[in-house]
Amino acid sequence: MPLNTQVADALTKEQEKDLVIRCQDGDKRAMEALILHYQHWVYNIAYGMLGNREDASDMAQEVFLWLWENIGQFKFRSRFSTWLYRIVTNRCINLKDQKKRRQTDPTEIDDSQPWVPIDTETPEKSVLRLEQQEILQKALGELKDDYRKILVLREMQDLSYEELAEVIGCSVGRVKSKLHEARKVLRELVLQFS
Amino acid sequence: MSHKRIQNQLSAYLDDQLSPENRARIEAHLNTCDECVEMLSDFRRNRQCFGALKHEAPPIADLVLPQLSDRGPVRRRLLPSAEEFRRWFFRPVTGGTFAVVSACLLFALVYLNLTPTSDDSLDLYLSEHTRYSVYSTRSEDANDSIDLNGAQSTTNVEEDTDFLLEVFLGE
Ligand SMILES: [Zn+2]
Repeated sequence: MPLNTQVADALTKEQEKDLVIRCQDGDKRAMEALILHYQHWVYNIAYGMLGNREDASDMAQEVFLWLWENIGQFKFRSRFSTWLYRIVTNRCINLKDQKKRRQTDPTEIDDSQPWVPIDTETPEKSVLRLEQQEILQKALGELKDDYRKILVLREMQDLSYEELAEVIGCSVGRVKSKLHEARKVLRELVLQFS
Repeated sequence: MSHKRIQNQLSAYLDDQLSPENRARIEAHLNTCDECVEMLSDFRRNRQCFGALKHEAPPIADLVLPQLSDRGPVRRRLLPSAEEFRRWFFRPVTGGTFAVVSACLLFALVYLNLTPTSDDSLDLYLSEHTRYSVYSTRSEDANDSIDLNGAQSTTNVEEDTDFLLEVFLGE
């Protein structure tokens, strides 16, 4: 399935910087270009972190609205994309914490949706594959946020170790060991649910 | 390299993050260890499964763009607003510093007698005024042969001085 997410690779550092500067000056057309460029990335990271489409869509919108107001905070100390991914993942973790707190309140009705298989999957895709995905989704639900974050960014978004280090805020060495730990824990969970 | 150490590098191996030597070592171990082979294949399968979660996003841009405020991003201002200045000034650090500096200044003025007294300025004024008046009458003298005018001028200076002194002291 050709995804528009691939387009993001085509944006050079200079083009990205130019767009961000124009956004900081209040240029809505530049913002539009930035949203079109990053919407699939931001949405899919949110989907990987939150586990359902509706929340992911809400989160992506919220992130871009926040970005429009606060893009002046970006100081070009890192790549814009890694800054954006840090914002998305952190906000997703905050949202999950809020939901968790609300769930402990017995008067609140739990209306959060469980992981659902992707309905865009074509019918010819094997039942086995869907089963595997369901198991993965269940396992992800049990994974702690730190591990989920690094796995979403690496396995779904294919970020390099250097980019991961920037987003997470640690050394490349730490990325290496953390990713290994996360994969091991996920593997055990998947085996458990199989 | 031990089985355990090899296992800890399987993730990096999957991501092609190892040196050619390490890579070769791991591959040699994989030929002999089923446990490591299994782990690696699970890692690989989970990664593929993860990748398949990715899908086309809904039209986020269409939803967001009409909601963007016309005000635009918060701009960096060169000068702080009155409220920001008030808050800055009333911080304990700024307020405290200001209080200490004011106290030192007050102490210096009162005890070190740095402030000019009213007598000094009055003296200065009177002497300057007298000097000016006397000087101007003398220059008039030079053009005038009548001595009486000179005496008259001196009286005027004294009267002026008395008058100014009264005005100054508010009498
Ligand atoms: Zn082994």
